[in-house]
Amino acid sequence: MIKKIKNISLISIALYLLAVIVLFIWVVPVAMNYYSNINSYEKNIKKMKTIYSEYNIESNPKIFTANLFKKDAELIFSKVDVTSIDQDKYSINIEIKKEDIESLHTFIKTLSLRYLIKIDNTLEFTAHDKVITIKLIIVKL
Amino acid sequence: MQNQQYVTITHYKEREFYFLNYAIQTKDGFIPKEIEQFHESEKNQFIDRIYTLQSKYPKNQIISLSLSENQIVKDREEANQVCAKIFNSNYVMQEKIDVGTIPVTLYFSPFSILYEEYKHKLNDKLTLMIGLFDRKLYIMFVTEDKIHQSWTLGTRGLTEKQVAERVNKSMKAYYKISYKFADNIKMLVADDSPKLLKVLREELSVNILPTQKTIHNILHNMGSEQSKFNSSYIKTFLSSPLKDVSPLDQSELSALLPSNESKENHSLNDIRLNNSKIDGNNALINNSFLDKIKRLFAVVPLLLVLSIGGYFTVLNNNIEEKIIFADKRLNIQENNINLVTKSEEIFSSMGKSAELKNATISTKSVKVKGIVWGIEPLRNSLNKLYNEGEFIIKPLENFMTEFSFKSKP
Repeated sequence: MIKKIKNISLISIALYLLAVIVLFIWVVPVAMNYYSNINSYEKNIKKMKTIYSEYNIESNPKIFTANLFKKDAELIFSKVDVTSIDQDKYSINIEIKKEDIESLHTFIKTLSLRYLIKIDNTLEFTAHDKVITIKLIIVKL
Repeated sequence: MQNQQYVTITHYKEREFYFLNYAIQTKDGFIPKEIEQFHESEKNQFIDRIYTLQSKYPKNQIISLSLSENQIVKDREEANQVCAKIFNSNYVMQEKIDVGTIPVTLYFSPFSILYEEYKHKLNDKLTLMIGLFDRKLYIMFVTEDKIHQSWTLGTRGLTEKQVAERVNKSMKAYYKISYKFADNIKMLVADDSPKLLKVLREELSVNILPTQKTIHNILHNMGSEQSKFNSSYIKTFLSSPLKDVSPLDQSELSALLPSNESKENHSLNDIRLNNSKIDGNNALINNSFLDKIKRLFAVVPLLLVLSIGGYFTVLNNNIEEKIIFADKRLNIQENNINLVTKSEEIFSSMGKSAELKNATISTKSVKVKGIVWGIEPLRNSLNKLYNEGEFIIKPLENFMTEFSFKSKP
């Protein structure tokens, strides 16, 4: 056995050692990190599913397009305008009756569950007689 | 007294002739006697002559030289081949030894002889060693620690110019695989060929200081000290000749020979020397080529580890991207809920005490304007939500009251 080892060239021994070093320095940590990340990802997915089930929505968000959004929103609200501001950024104006404010709130709560979008953190309300116009900026993900 | 002398008996075969010589070994060197020549047809007389010398000088070594073209230098010993050690990590091997019934106790390869001749002149610079024996060139590229490459060239039937060109091509071929030229060239010439030497010098464009010695003298020198042949003779053929020729007695033999020689018969199957039918670069036999291929397999574990590492890295990058995206969506959802909660709180505060004109609501700040009927309830509820906010009342001409509220920045 020792004779066999002695017969292995230095380059070969160096390559074997390098393989072992790379295995423990790089491969094992990356593999462990991967399996740890798998767990984290599954937790996130579980959280998302819980949220979807809370609002009774299918966990299948749509890619945002102005036309699709307008079409969907007009099923709930009387007037909806979608204007493109920038690439992937849109201004949305929704007109509702004052008494329908709750519907609007529910709509906003579920907006990012239905579409892959982000609301730009501000809601602007303007009231005229018995209607309220709400303006919000959304960004596509 | 004469029979107490240590004598080296040397012989080799060149074409159809056996050449025999013996020398008395003394502390000041060896004293060679006259060279005897026997034709193939006189083989029995030739062998008898060796026996006679043995009888006359019981302390002897019978030394010969393998002029086989099928010799290869490897960096490890192979059990089924006859071999001799050169350097710490090189072994010269060959398939078979054609000494037949001719007595031999020490059998050398030209590679071993070359090493013995020049080993004290080696350093870390690459040296090209060329040995010319029986119209064959034994070539090796060496440094002080090992042989990097070796091969043999047959020169029979070639002109001196063609031989020189082959040596030059060999050097170029070696450069192609190692990107190194030899810094020094050493040449040991056992053949009397001054013209070849001259052409080689011209072709290689370097200074060669050749050592010219007869094969007999080279072999006498190899057998002169145990340290010279201790490991460098070709092992494994000793068993039968020893019985036949009854050389030194066992204790004397053990003093001269290494103690661990194998007495197994081995068969070589390996190397083919180049001959004159092979042209140019094809004449170059890369003796260590197979070894290099084997050495490449040492890379396999490393490649495997790198592949697995690469595979997990790609998977990990993908899963990390997914985690980042999922985290982002969770944060967005949480932010949306907070935003709606703020809005609900503002509308709930106004209740029936006020009516909205306009408002800008974010999770960080609120700005509201409207008509108020119950000033104090509105002020209280807004202040409860946003402590130290700015609440302003403004009477209107139509006897109504306008309010505005701004949270503290």
